[in-house]
Amino acid sequence: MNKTLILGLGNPLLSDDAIGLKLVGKLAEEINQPELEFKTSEKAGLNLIELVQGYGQLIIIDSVITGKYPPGTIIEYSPEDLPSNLRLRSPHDADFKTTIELAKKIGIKIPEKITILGIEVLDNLTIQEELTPQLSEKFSSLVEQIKEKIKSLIF
Amino acid sequence: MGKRYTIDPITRLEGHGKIEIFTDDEGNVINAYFQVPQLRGFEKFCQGRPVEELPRIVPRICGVCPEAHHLASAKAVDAVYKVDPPSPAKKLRELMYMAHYVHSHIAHFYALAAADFVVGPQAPVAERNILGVVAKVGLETGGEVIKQRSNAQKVQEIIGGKATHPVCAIPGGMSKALTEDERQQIEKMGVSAVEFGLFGLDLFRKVVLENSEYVDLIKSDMYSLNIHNMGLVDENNKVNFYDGKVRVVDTNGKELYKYSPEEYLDYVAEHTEPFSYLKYPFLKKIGWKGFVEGQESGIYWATPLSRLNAADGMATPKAQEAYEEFYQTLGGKPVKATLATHWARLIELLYAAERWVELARDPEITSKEVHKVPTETPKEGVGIVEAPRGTLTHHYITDENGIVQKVNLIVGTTNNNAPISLSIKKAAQGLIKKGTKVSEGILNMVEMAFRAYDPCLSCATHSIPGRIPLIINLRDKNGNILETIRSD
Repeated sequence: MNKTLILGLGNPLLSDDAIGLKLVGKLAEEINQPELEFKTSEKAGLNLIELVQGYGQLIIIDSVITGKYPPGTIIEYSPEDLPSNLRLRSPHDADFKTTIELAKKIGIKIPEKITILGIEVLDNLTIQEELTPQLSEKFSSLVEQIKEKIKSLIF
Repeated sequence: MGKRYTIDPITRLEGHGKIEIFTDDEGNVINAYFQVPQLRGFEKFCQGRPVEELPRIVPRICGVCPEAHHLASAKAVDAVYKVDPPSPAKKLRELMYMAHYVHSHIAHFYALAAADFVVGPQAPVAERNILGVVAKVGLETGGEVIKQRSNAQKVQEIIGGKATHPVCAIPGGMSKALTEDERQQIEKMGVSAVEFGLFGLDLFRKVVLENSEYVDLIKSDMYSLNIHNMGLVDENNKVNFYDGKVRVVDTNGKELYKYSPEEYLDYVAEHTEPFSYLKYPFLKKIGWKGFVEGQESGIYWATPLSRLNAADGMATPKAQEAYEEFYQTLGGKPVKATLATHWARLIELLYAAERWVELARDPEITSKEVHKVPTETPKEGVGIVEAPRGTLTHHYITDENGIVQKVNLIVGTTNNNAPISLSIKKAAQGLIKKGTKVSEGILNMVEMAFRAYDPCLSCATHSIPGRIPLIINLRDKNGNILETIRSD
């Protein structure tokens, strides 16, 4: 299977933390290409192996707080340079980089090309289903930017 | 001139925990605190909603232990409606929960804890992970970890109804029964989980117990804590994760209290400190005596180790054998060695797997009688389960239409807030003395005291990284950084 998986991560109840889930939900509605698949998950760590195995390419969309960029900025990472505050670094589990290496070692087919798109957010501590207004107003623009990004990554 | 060390995640952001260590003029550790920020707005989010929605909402606060929250919440809602679910429904809930325990405990031991022993407490950080572990004990162990976790996940999905978070428990029972086909699948996977549980204990014996250096470390004073023990027990005082009474056993191994969930406010109170959003629960009848150990202190822990200490044994045969070996090896009850929590966790893993098989073979487990319709007027209820990381309490108050008015949660790790601070302090005192060169290895050994608790603050707070990237700042009394040591 040489499909590309677009995987949105986050927590649906922690305000901006849900940005990855919301963006991938929207993309799944708007994009209909057989070579692309869309999934969302609230999990992290070793759980991700089952979600991503078998795909040729993986694009992860998750929230991040670096404090260096305005909310809504898209920051591209490779698995090698992941910041520690992405969801991909689980508190009780192996982190993403380790998980991927472990999966490869034990012979699970892991996507060869992995890109992580971190969306700079403001608030991931307030329990609410809505994004902050600052991020919400950039949502449509983020959807378009990520569509372009996906095009550039898979072709 | 006193000094302050800050052990802090690299990304020093709101939402992350940190450990602060203070030293005196001589450079000796005088105090250490573990600090975390708190999630905002949980009560407000719940207020005004029908209470039966809460078991579906609370698991989504965090992806780490959704099943624990789902079941504590479901039990609280049963109590709000004064309805006692039929026996098959309780057994189905417990079966799902056993799979959750296997899933959770495997991740902690193999991905986080094992590296400290298999690879070594002062080994380079790049090797101190599950890759380092499988490099030493064999690649097939890595494959088995993935397989067993995947099996446990399947069981949770079959019973729980959704892959990400369970939606199965409803007021008065479960939304659907188990089919015979599903039961057979679950039984088969359970048998395999028991084998893996035994393997884990063998591995612990070989790697840790046969190494006198590690045994000395486990038994050392800097990794021990003399406090009271909390855990849920069944009618025979055996460890139970899903149901029963909360038992508190003191520092001498004697029962102090045994109470039903609805009585928890008579036994547990919460202390606050200005520097911490997270409260410090303590035994109310003893009182808060500060951050001190001993029989006179109100501090207790709620961990795999305390659960074993608070019980008279395990309810399944192989786990019971392991339980006896545990106390024989460590010199009787109660065990006070914080690092023995890892061993206790493996005993619990075996118990959960054995109980999983037992329940899968129970003739009632495929009964269609999984729900009892609630008929009473809703009012107030408390639900308690043992979450993998400690006793989890949900307490709801509603109006007569079942609309939520008030919510109180004491989550697993919150119970251990004061013990974690004490453990860090003792480890730091044992490791950092005047003239000590604070290396990355020393930092990891301080972190080991913290890691034994498998602390999860995602539901009290958000995402503190478990393998903490550490920074120690050596500061002067004005808070100016003299030296920074990073470990990432």
